[in-house]
Amino acid sequence: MPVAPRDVHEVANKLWLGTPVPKLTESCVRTVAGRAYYSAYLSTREAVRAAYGDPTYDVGHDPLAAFMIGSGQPTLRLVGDMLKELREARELADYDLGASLKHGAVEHLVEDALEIISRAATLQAEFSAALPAQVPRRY
Amino acid sequence: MTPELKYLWTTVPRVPREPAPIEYLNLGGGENLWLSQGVQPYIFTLGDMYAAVTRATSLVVSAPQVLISLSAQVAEPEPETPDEFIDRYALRMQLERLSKIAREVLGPKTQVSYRLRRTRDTGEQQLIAEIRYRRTKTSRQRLDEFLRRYSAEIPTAVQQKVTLLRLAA
Repeated sequence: MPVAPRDVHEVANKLWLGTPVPKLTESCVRTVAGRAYYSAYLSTREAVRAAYGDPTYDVGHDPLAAFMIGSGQPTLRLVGDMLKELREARELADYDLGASLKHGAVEHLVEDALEIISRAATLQAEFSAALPAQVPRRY
Repeated sequence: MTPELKYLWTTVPRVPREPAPIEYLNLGGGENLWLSQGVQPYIFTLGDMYAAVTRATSLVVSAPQVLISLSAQVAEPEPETPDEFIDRYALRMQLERLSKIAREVLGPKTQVSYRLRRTRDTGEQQLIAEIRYRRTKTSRQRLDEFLRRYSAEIPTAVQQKVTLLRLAA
């Protein structure tokens, strides 16, 4: 079901006011998709930073997933595929107002994001093992 | 003028010779008329002919290179449909394998469809594979199993071009 910008604002307003957000509305589902992706992406970026010993290291979204899939490390590869899917859902959620994103579609994305966060230590170890290949730096 | 055309232009063998007098061209006369005007026709030396043959040969030999260079400069149009994208990157066989894994793990009624999207970061085209499955009590385990098999069995080059989107039907 398509959403209007006002529907998205309603979620922002309810969060701001601390009032409950109906979880089955499409605008809520879209917000969930976006937060799920960023929690996973930021956790992965922290693992890269720890592996490189550089707390300011930054990396683009697509280059990060591409590097992980091509790294030859099993967990990086699996999480790279998960990140790509999360990112696609996030882009649908935030840019394609005409698309339909059902409640059930994001359920596994929230769980995947949590799984990625819980694998931070493994990701860091595999990023370290993937050296000296460099993750492309974002400028 | 492109570098290739400039190369062709400057490497065509040009033998310097006296320009024919305008009267000769107008009258369509012969050698005698030309000579009668006091202009000597250019006499080729052996060195001139050697230089001309050498340069002509190098031009003929380099022609395929010029053609390759010209053809390389013609940008191949981007795929406009999922089918064109699949054919361009020879993905069909691996996508059939992907569908087979999806039906084995997520159920025989699982639907797989494709669409194209351009990534916002790099502007690259991606093939989005939408996997529509029926939800059951074991969906979570089956989704995990499907992703693990996809990650392990589908080649890296294909995974770089494809983005999965698992959707409950």
